[in-house]
Amino acid sequence: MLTVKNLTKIYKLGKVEVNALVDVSLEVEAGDITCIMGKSGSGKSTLLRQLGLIDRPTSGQIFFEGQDVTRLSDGERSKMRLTFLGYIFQEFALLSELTAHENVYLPGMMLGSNSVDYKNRAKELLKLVGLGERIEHKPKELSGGEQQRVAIARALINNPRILFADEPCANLDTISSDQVMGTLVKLNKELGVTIVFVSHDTDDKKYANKLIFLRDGKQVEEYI
Amino acid sequence: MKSLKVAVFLALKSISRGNSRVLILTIAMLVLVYLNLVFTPAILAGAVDSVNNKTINTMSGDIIVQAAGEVPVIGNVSALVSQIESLDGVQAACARNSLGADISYEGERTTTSVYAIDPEQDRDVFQISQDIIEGSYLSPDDTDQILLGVQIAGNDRKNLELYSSSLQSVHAGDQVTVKYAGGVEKQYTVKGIFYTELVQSDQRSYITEKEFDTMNPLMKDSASAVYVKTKDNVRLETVIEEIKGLRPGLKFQTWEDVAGFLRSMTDSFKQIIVILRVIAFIVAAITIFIVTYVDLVNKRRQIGIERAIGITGASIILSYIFRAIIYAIVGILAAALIFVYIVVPVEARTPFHFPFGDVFLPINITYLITSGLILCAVATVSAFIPAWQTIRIKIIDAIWSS
Repeated sequence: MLTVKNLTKIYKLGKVEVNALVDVSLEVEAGDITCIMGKSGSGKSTLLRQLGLIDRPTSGQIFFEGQDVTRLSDGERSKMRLTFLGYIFQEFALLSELTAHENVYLPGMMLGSNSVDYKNRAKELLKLVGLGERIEHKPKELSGGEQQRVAIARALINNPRILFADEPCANLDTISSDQVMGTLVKLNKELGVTIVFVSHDTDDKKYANKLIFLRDGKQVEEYI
Repeated sequence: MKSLKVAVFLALKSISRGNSRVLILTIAMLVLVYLNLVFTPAILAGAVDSVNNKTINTMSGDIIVQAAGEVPVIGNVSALVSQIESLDGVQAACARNSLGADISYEGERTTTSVYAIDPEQDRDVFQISQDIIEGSYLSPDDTDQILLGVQIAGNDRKNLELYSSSLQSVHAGDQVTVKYAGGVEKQYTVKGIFYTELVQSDQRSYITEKEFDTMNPLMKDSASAVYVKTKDNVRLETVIEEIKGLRPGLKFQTWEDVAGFLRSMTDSFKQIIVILRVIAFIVAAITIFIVTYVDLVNKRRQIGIERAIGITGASIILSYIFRAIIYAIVGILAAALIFVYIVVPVEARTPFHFPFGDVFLPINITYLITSGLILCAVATVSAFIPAWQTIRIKIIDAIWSS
């Protein structure tokens, strides 16, 4: 489903060049839950942003269902993100002026779906992540775990083929973390959504069927 | 279409649920920008109107009819005045004879134009009778009496523009000596002094037609000009064409021809109005740009998130443009209501006083609407530029550098 070949990302900080990713290659199959693990600064979030088409690699290629998506224009990448990909940020990243329901159905509106359809689907997704009673609440009225589950529901509104989650539990307590990871696993099992998530917590290995380890931007080991 | 729908959705949610203090402050700022846009030009437009009205009401009427032949006199003038007054677009008409004269009082001497008028007929066209500051207006049967403009009399008003060249200390009841261009010299009692606040008008003097006839019996029922006051919103050209049909051998001037001596001033005012409008629009553009830019800087992360979840750049830019236009419309409507229902009535009660009289703020609906539309266009451009700049920032920089 997702193939990455020799991906390299170099950041320029003034005259200094930082090799955030060096020659990373990997493969994600449909239905996988893949966990990208590594210490802070290892390049795991950078890798996820390249895969989620939020950033552009310096070199290398990314293929999504056989199509090279590395050099797509901004407009094409935007359409790709909207249509095929879901992305969950570490910091919840909800729009503060919208309710949970509106946050979830906004990408559906952008896709041009029937308004009744995307509004109903947003309600169903919020129920699915356990927030059926809180759909009219704004982000500031929700706990961190609840906000992250709203973000998960939003990422699913357009039936993405693959869901990327960047340390989805980094800012959550243990109970909320278990709820969020439990929700992702449930979505994988019940809806067959392919999931790629980033974590620095080795305990999160248990949720994945595929692990990718990064150290200093380099892929160091891969095993099932 | 879907981009438009999302843009409207984001704009309306942002306005209805955003920071209400920022919303009120932004609209208040736009109200001030619009008031600034209409207020100062309105003062100058009011000044131009004031000068023009003074010219019409104290000097020229709307149309001046004169004899076109070698003899600059219109004969059988009472019949012509009656015929002109019977025309549809005409409110009133009067005949005047004018003579050049030297006038003196206690060693001071000056020159003036003396107009012979029928006081009753004249007051239907001109407002001199309402500008008497001392004594009283002429009566039809007055002889040996004269009405002086304040710039001729002086009236002990040392702050007058032409005081030094005036008779300086003439008051109602004083005796002045008038020596006409034809050599006739007469003593007149000053019946009244008028002050129209238009210098050119206040340099004139008036006697009655009856007095004029006693000096020039052969000129009975003749006049050097007929002055016509038209009804409101009547085309002067139409009235002129109708008068041409009444009698041949006449020539015509409109008040604008007569107001040539004031044209440099009114033209300067018009140029100042244009400059002020351009400056006001630039100030408006910069203000709206700054407000939008600050707002966008504060919302850079939010915009990054919107783009990351697939909202197009066009939708985001449009949402900011819609917001700017909505703010502009609300601000413009509020400011227009304040201007029409508060500023103009208050100013009318205590008008600004210019050297040529009180200036009242005119309500020019076309200008108010045009200014509003231009301000909306300015708001659109001022919102587009920073929004477009923000959209060009990389998503990761927008989200994680904020």
